[in-house]
Amino acid sequence: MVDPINAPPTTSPTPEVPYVAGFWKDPQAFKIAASAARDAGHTGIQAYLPYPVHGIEPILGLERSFIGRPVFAVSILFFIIAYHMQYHQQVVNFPMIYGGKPFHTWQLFVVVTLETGLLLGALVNLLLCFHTCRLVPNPAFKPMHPRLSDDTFCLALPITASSDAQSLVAWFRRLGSDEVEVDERAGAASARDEHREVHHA
Amino acid sequence: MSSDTHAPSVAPVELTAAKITDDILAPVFKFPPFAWWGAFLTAAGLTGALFLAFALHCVEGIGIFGINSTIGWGNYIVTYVFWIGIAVSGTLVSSILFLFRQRWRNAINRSTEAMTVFAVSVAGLFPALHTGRPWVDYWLMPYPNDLDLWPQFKSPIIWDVFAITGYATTSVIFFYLGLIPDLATVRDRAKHPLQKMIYGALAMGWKGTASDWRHYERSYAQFAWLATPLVLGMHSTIATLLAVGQVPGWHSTVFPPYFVSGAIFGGLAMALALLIPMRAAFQLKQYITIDHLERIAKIMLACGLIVTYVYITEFFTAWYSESVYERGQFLWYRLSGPHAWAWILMQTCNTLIPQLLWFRSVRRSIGGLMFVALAINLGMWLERFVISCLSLEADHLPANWSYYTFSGWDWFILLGSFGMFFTMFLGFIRVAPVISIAEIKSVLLQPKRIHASRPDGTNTGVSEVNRG
Amino acid sequence: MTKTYWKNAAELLVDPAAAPARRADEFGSDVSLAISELRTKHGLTNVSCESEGNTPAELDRMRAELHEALPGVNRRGFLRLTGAAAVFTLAACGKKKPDTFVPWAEQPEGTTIGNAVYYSSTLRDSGQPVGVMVKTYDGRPIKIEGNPDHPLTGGGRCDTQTQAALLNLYDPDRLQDGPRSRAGDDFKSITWDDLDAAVGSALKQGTVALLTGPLDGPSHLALVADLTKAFPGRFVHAVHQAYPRAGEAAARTLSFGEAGLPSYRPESADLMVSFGDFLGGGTTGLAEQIGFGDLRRLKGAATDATSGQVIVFEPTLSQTGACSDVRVRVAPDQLALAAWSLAELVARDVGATLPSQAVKALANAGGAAQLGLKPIANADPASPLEYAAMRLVAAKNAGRHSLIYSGGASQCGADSVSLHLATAFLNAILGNDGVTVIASPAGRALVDNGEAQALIERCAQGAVDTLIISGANPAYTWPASVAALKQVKTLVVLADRIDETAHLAHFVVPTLHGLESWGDAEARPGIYSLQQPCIPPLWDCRAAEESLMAFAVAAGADAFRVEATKPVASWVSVVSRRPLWQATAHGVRSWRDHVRTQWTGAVRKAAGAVADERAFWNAALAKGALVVPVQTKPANYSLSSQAQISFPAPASGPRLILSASRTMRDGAWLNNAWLQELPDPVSKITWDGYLAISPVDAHAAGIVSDDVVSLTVNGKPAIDVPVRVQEGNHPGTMELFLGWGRARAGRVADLTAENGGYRVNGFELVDQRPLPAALDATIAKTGARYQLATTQGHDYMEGRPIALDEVLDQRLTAAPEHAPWKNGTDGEAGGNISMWGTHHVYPGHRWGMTVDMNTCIGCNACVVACNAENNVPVVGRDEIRNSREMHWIRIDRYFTGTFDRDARGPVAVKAKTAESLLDVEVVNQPVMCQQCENAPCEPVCPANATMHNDEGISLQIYNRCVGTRYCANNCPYKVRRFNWYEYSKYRAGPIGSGSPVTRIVTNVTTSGATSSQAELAHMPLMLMLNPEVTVRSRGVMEKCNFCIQRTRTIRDREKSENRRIPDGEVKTACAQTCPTRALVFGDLSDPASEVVTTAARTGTAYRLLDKELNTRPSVAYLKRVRNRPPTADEASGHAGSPDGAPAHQSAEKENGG
Repeated sequence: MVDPINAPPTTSPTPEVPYVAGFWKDPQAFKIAASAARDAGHTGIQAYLPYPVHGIEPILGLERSFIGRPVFAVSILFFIIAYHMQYHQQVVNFPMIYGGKPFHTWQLFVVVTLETGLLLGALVNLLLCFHTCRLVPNPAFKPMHPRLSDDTFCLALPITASSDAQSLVAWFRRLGSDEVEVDERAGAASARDEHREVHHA
Repeated sequence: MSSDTHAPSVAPVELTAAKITDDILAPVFKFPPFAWWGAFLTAAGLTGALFLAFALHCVEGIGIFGINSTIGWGNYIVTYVFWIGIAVSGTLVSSILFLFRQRWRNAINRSTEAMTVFAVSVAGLFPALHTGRPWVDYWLMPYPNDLDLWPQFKSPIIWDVFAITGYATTSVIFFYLGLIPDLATVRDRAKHPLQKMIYGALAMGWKGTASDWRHYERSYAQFAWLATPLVLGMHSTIATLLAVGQVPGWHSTVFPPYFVSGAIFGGLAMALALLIPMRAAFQLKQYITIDHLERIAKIMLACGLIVTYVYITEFFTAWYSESVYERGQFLWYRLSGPHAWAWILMQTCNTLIPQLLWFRSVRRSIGGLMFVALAINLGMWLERFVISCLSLEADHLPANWSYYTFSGWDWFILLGSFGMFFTMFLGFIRVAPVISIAEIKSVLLQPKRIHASRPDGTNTGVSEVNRG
Repeated sequence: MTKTYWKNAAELLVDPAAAPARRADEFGSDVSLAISELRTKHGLTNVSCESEGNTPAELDRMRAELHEALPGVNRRGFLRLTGAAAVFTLAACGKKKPDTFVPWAEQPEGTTIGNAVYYSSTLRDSGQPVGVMVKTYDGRPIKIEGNPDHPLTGGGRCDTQTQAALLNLYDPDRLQDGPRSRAGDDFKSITWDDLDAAVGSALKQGTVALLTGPLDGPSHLALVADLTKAFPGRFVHAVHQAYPRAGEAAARTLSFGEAGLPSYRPESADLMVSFGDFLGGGTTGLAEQIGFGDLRRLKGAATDATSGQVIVFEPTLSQTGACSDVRVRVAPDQLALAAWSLAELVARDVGATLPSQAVKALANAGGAAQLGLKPIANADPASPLEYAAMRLVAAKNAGRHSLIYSGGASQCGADSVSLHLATAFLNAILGNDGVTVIASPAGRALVDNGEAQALIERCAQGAVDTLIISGANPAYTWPASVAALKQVKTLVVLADRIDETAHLAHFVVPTLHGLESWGDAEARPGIYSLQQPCIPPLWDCRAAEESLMAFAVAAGADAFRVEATKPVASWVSVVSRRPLWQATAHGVRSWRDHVRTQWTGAVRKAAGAVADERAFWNAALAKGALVVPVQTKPANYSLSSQAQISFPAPASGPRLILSASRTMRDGAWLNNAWLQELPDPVSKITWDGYLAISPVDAHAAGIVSDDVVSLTVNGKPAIDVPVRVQEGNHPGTMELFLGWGRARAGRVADLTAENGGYRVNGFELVDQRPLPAALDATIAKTGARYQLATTQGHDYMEGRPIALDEVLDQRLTAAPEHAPWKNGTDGEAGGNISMWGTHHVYPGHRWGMTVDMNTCIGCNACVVACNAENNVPVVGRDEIRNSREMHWIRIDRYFTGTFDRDARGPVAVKAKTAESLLDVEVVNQPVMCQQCENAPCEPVCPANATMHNDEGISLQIYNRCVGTRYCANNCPYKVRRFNWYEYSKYRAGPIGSGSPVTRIVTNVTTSGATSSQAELAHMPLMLMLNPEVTVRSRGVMEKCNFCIQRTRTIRDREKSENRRIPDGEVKTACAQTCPTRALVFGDLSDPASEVVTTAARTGTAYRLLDKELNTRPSVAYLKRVRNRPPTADEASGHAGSPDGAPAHQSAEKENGG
């Protein structure tokens, strides 16, 4: 089975599948909940954080991001391309005498080589970041929770056959969620009138 | 003071994530005070003067400025190097201190990054516009053309073009990348639909999932790794631009480290000059504390000492070389030539006044810091002036010697560059969080070191995940 | 009927009578009849349908009439009609005359499109004739060079002012549209016929006087003689010169009993002693400069080279003093005493008898002891007079010749006769007469011998009815004469503009430029040169001589009357659309005919030529010069008993010398922007006249350079003048330069004067003519400051080994540095350490140059040659003040000597320094692009705009240049020039200059375009541009490229002629023109070329800054070699040390450099 956590993320502000989300203000409580979810064998856990919380990745089983190597490779590639560009211009295409210097002067090609490689590396780094986080301009973005980028942490668990919305709500309550929200797509299954039930701790 | 390198400031107990957000976003959602409008309009007016001078330069010719056959590079280049130097220090805070795990940088990195971007925007204009025919500047970029004619890559100016392009691009995207989670915060806080839409677009649909944060932080760290050689290389390249010339006063191998340390020196001074009023005006004193300022002052002092060392080295080398041309430039012209006042003022500002920072009372006094910072700013502009202009004024053949004076339009350029910078900076204060909200929360709301452990007590083995 | 198509207007009008018929043939009879009827009706010319003053409405009406007049329109008729309509429409395009385009359907004989045509001719610089070769493109003169066939041009060399005459030809301020007559305070235009009638009637009775500049050509002399005959008993001719050689002439008459003026041949001398300025004094010319260069040049091989010696006695630092070996300061009033003291010593040693007048005068004056001359260091004898006498006598005893000279603008008058008597005596007893001093036979030339003074006096008394002035400007050069000129009933002034004198005239007659007219000259006895036009008259003017003849004819004189012919419409007049005044059509003999008659008659006879007239004339035109051997037997010296020798009492107060400006001469060049922008050879000041004062006086009075002082000469209103503290000027002596401050020279002069300048006219300070040698004058500070525009930033080398000099006796002790252009590797002689291992090779030619600082006289001829050849723009005074001069070649002038280290310019000198600045020595160092092999400018260019070619030339590609200016910053010689503005459109610098704001606001509000563009539309100056050289636009860098347009032709010729072009066939403009051959250009890859042998021969060659920067220039400098006793420092062995630092510079090293 594909690990949903490491599955390619989406541009949707909410998980792709019907879910039940619990919200916490306290990062420690959130972390404990995340651990618990992981230990309880839930798959497809989706966590939302307003700011990076130390140590959350191993709890959620997230691997180290892969984007380092492509950036390195691109930089090296463009070192070569940039050097070749200079060599071609100065030696092959326009072998002109500039100040009596030899046509091929590697000493004078260093700066452009380095700068080009690093710049292209940076650009690729940006593109990879946008790609992995699925960042595209989104003027109509509606967050799952208005304070999710402020002070609220969220743990969303998919509604599956083994864990229906009802039991997940109860489970979140046990873990001290400030709020619990049931995805409206789960409406048919949960047969609850209100699509969102707020439980105050 | 605390000797702890990670968290110099102890967060007040009552600090919560919501309060941090409120505090930092206050300037964005509040109608700006009259003082802001005054400053902004003044700066915008000066920007207009800058572009007026540019326009006249294009219409009449670059002759409207004070430069001449002997001093081919004057105010444009001096001011250019000045602003590039300012930019360098921003990258120092955002990248180099990041790589050195200096978490106190989080309080100031956003504003210094903004400073970087705006300074590099101002600076980037100047080399493009200082040419005799600015409309053909694109010839300096390697673009495919049917003549198969490429730039001349042996030229240090081309190095400079590549360095500035790379550095400016990287700075901007680094700055923007850092802004994305905060823009999402603004987006979610915004009430006005237009605001929601604009910030929604700018925040790129940032969701803040744990997976996003993972890639994002990795990417951010990689930017720090890329930006550090870029910035050091960029300013070394500018130094080399001069150092490969044979002009006495330019032709010196000490230039790259000299320029880099000088840039950090001057840039941090500019950062202080910006932060001090800003933290007062926007009630950010509990985030940007006196400890932060003191740390900046310490780095400034260190860089200032390096610069002073190079001043001495230059003179020693000139004397030791026994070259009449080098000696003429340093031992005579700078010390007692007609522009000696510039050199003396520069030494006062860059060598003598920074020594005040040895005193803790000065380092922790707002007035003292401000005085030193402004003096260093003046001194660093003069330093570039001395290097560029004084060296050219008295080069090899005395028959060519000349004296550089500003024309009226030069003042437009110089003051206008400040206007343009402040226009952008003041605008930025109004539209984006001046402190990185996500990062400052991460620092202030968590214990300094987390040994993440599972509920069962087994250690994950990860001792410090967040490098911020 | 057969139609005859005429191909051009000239063909049509060959026979004007037949033209209508031919025209009728051309078009169908119906249409052409209609058109010609209309032409007649509307008074249009038969050539062009365009006519001044037709409004568009009128033309429309004419078109309509034409349409109605046509009998019917068929296809061809329609086309013809359309064509005619197009012509009328063109004519309707506003008041401005449309340009005429003439197809080269038929090329004039000998013309190939794109090839230059050269004409030999003659021009005059302040009265001195110079044989020139004029390069024309498509009928436009674009450059003036020396005529290589002329015996006095040293093989095609030319002086500064003559070359700049090109700019005067195209001067838009010349009178362009016919003669003027006075109307109240102003002038109105009149026709030539009216003018001739009016002047002719005035000439019919009363006294007639003609005042001219100096005349020496046979045609001119004949013309004056004919005029004298035409007005029997009532004609007076006089010559007026600003700087007449009256004193010299008087001394000659007293000494030899015969009239005439000597000319000088320093090339035949080994030693020259000059009292006054030989080179730039205003009374000598190109031939003297060439001879001086030969005298100065190092002769012989490196091991036993010798050089002529120049000893100068002078009060202020002059061009000659700057080039001298020994310079002795003398108070201006004591020159004669010094000269006679020297004569006494020489006479003693050669056994001649000193004239009794001199003995008495010397005794009265107290002898040489009164002079207080500074001894010459290390010389034996140390007294300058004893030393000079010793050298002179030694030369005579060795069978060699010397030359004693006295002259210059301030040595013109009667008070200088004593001095000239001394030089005549010295030359006589040293045997120089006939060798270095050539006497002219009496009557050869008409010069200013005092008749002008008499004439003006007669005018003042109202005794002159009609005065014709031609080629002289007394109202400027002699302001005291203005009152007298106003007394004349009819004043006719022949001038090319309404100048100061013409402004007083009743009739102003526009004259032709020398390049437009005929003439001749006898430059020296037996050396005839012919002047021919190189371009048809640009404007409605006529030759001055023709005007004189026309006046005489109108006055009834028969001498110049010919049978009137019908006017011939040459194609020139058709093209130029100007009704050229044709002498023969008016029954007047043409001036060309007059000149031709003189040449084919008298001159041909004198030459003993056997060729027929036509062949002789054609040969004379082609060569431009003719030498007739003249036997000049040296006259016997016998001092007349009437000769008075006296020495003025030593002056008690400050004395003022009035000297000729070294660039402006007598002021005739003041509207010439090239010369305005030329730096003075000594002070390097451009665009302004100034007062030069001694450093000692300046220190005492607290005056520094650029202060404005109020100058008071007894009896005259004080004038304000900016000051230059001039190194080398004798204490108590001030020098004011004449030739500046004209009120009506033209717009160039006006603009510079109006723009905050000072109109300093020294001629106003004294009424007496010729000018006295020195005047009592006082100065007072006004407190004002005025920045004199100088091209040199700093006058001292500050201990740097730049312009090297050495002493002749010492130079052999040190080995030459290394052979120039030989690039050794590390460790070898001449090897510099380089991080780049390889050197590029030059497979074919490799161009290079030697610059002989020993012979350079700083005359700037190279600069003007370069300006003309390479379309170098003028930038104006404000730009020069900001070090933005555009000259591709410049002459750096350094003062050397043992002055104090803190003398960094004349600003606030200390007393001790001031003293030490009195006896400086000078080096002139021409600097052009050094074409470095390792050029620092090239690698820094980001745009490939500068690079090296395989002939060793550093190229500049203007259209690739972005204008970063790093190349200029990185050039250690600072020879690169940047177009800060659109300089090519400026004439006298940015118009309305001052602050850029003012200029821009003015431009925008007045015309919407820059006013310089507006002015350009009316300027013919673009005709002057060399079509082989790009005109640079704003924002690009430019520099010397060794006249690449010239060297490239060699490649083409080598291809087509399949041979290697020998050395010397191609020269840069500067090297070609240099009067003293200080610049030698050639191929470095040819070991036998002059440039290589010159550098190797003397062993004094070095390359500028090469040791320090490893730039490997293609230019080698030959050290200035001083033929004088070494000073103590030099004698101690520092001189000529291998590291190239001369002694006095080594001494300065301690001070840091």
